[in-house]
Amino acid sequence: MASNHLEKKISWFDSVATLLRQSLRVDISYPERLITPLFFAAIVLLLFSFAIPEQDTTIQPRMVIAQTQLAIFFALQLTFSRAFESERSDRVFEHLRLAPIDSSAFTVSKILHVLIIGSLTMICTAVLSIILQGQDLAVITDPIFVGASILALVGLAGLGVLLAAITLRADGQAILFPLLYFPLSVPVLLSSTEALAAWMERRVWTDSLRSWSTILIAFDAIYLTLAILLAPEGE
Amino acid sequence: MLDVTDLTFGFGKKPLFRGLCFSVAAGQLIRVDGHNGAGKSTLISVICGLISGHTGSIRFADDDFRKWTSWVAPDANGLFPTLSAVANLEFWLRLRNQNIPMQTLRECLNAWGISGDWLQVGLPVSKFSTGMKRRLALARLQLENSKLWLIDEPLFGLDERACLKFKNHVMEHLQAGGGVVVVTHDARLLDGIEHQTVFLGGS
Repeated sequence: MASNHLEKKISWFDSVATLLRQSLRVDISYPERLITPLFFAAIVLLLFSFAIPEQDTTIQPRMVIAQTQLAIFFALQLTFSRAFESERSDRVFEHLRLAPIDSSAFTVSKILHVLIIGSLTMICTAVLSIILQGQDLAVITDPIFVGASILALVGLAGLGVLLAAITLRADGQAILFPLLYFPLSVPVLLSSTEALAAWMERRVWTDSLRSWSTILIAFDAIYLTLAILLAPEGE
Repeated sequence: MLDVTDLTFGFGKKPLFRGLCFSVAAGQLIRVDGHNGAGKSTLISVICGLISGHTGSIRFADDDFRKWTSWVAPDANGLFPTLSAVANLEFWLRLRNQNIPMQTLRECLNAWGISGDWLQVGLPVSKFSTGMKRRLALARLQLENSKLWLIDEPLFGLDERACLKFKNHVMEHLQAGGGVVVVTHDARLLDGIEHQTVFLGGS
């Protein structure tokens, strides 16, 4: 009894892995959390495919990217707003604050968690969108397309976790989160859409692609850094 | 283990408690007493660092007090509702770098009356009653085996047998050199246990 304090503290990497595994376990135990964003993205895409008439072939790639990004954006908003849902119940979050782990480990595990869930949403949404718009499915294996999509996801995940953490203890979290998320995600959304569209249109490395990718990387770095720096404090 | 000196805290302009001084040494139990709303639970949260804005000092024997301190509160069992009892326990123990064998873990849960159907694979703790959730939280407290327990109404929702079991654990903990700060209105817990009382509420 009363001897546990002598045990070595868990390493930072182990704590990230433990927290990430627990978040994924919660997702698996409650599949509605995974299915709802996918379902939401599918409905948005279906609406677009029926509502918008067939376009000129020159603007179609841009339209496909814009629709896909928009569907992913709204679907991810659901994922992000629920990022801390399991920690809000039974004051799990307070227990985490009192656990002997670094607060940045918690934030990093949450970013990795939403990246994994977001990737699933992104892949399914992109495949469905490309099929509905009659585009070449091979594009989703294109390294530039995949790279720009991942950069977009990283930016949105960083911002999503940052805002979810900031609004964690706010009373109006459900209102506050989208109010902050929508305007702040515009740079990421715009730069990723432009970068992806530039690639889809010409399939060559252009100045436009380079500049939009640079902006995207810059915002990724800003949001990720802020998310880690403003991690909920453990003490 | 813990030194509280001249501690003052309030949510508004009027302090909830003012100039509190007490310390917890090895093998010592401090009871925090007072009427409803006197700030007993708040005091525990302030000591834990869950609420900031106090004046005075709270000093622990070690910088990273989280390594050897455990906290329990009535509305804070710290359970992930969609996960099983075992999955919950494994997670919290892992965060403390405790790799307790499954057999030991199950034995502890059995001793707390969490056995048979309650331990079915995949049975989420959201299906547990209030008392069973509290038993699980106390099983965790026992397995974490921390040096200092900061516990708020630990007997909340427990039946007579579980109360007695927890009381025995408190006594064992104190005998082993642990410290306890407890908020309780339930006299059963402190019956026969030597303790000091910090009274909140103006006196």
